[in-house]
Amino acid sequence: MDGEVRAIRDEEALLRIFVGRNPEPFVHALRSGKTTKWSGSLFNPVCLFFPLVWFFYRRMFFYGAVLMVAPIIIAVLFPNAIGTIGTGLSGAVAVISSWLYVTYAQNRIASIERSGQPESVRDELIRKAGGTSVAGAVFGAVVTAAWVVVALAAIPKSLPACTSDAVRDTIRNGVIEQRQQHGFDASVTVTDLTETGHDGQRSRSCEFTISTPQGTNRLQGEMSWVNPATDQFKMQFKGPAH
Amino acid sequence: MRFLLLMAAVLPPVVIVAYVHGRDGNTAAPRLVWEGFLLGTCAGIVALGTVHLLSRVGVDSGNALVKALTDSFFRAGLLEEAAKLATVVIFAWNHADRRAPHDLLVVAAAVAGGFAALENIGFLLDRSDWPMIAATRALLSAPGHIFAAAVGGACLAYTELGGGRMLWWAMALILPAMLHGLYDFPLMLGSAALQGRSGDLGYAAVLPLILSAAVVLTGAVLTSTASRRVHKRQSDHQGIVETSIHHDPWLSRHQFRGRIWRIGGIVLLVIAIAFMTASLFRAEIALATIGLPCAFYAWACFSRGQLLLARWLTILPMDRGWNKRLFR
Repeated sequence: MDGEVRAIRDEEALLRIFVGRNPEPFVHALRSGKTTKWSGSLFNPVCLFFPLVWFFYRRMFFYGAVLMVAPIIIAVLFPNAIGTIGTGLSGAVAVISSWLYVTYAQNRIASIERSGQPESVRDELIRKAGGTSVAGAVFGAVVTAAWVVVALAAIPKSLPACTSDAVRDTIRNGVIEQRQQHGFDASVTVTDLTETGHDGQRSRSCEFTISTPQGTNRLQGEMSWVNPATDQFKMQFKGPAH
Repeated sequence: MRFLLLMAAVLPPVVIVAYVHGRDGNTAAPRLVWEGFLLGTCAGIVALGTVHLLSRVGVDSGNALVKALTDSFFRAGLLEEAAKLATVVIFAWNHADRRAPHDLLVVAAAVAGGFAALENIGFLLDRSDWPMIAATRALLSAPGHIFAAAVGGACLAYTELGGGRMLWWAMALILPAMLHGLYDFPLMLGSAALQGRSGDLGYAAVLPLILSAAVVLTGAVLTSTASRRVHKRQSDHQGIVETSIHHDPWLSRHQFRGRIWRIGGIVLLVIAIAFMTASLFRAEIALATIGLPCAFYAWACFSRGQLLLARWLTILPMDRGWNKRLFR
């Protein structure tokens, strides 16, 4: 019994050395892990909103990197499920992060303890293996901010409506350019613009009437982005309307 | 299909990083290398976010040459290499497994590998012609990223080996940025020049690729030279450096890994031969462009396997101390 108590106390002392600043939540997590009781104080709100900042601050680069890569892989393999899985992942990480850190610390401490070095050297190695990194936290914050920018940029921007002036001008300029290549004049009017369909925010199908001195034609075209950042779009003519 | 796309994006950088690690004598701890690889995606996100923000405030001069210059040397070169360098510095200096300055070269290559993998995913996603793009990127972009960053890593290693620290810090950013810019410049200028043109473009389409390939080769030669020099300088500086526990063999593990790499090499070689043969019979150059990178990666896998075999054969009659000295 006495030996067991001593072992637990030593483990806590080593964990305190490893953690460095603010070791109490992790010591608490260690005790909870031993009694297999979960308490609300193990929930890590910082980890819920800024997991990368927390993991990099605590120098758990591998776990931080996995958290970074996992949503990317999920988004590639299961693009429709990324929202649900991502939210679940964030919640799960916030709940288990303290235990995760304690497990990580225990593994590192155990490997150093096995090295057979003198106790003072081992303590120093444990201190160096753990601790915190402000630079890591700043890096995590920068990566999080960049994530937000990339995620916002990935939200598809709406193409202009078929009836808008910008679309009318684009069609008119396209027709004039083609007519001039064949030696015709620039007198073109575009009327009766209507939308016939769309593929999400990727493309929009329009029908329109082109009137020239040579006659009137009802045509269809497909609009898509060239560069949404600069509001550049293109209209591809698809022939006569059905 | 999406799984294949993911593999096509991720495997080439993995193979090259493993190759650089193997060529380097496996001195860096594997944990350090592969954590660095995963963290490379962070560098990728930072670069992507910054480039996106800059595209909002950027002014388009309208001149294709100026645009190609700023895009290749500033947006792609300087920004991407700065993101990779920051990741390497923060990660490597905080990692307990880093033993020697030379590890920085391999870590830099690993971070760039992760970066290249993320970039590959971005380029291949939602593209119908992704096999062709994957093949080109496997042959040029992934090695380009990794070798450029490895040169920067070598400069970082020099900062720890004394003499001209500020100079080497600056070189750690400037040299990879220059290599990256030189790689991208012909491609960007070429694509601007060919925009709107169709039909048989002849040498106009191939020349930028040849110039970029030359830059990648230069990067590979520089990496190899820098690796040797850093090793030598490190030995001069510190004597025989105590290596990590990862140097401890042993035989079964090395034999197994060597075998796995050789099997990978055989699989890739078979795929390469299949594509090349199909290309000859069907007279489609597109199939050959997929076969060529497969052949390249087959060779890389064989080399990796052979290195492990050679290492195993060399250490067999010697004790561990000899082994450590031999591979320093």
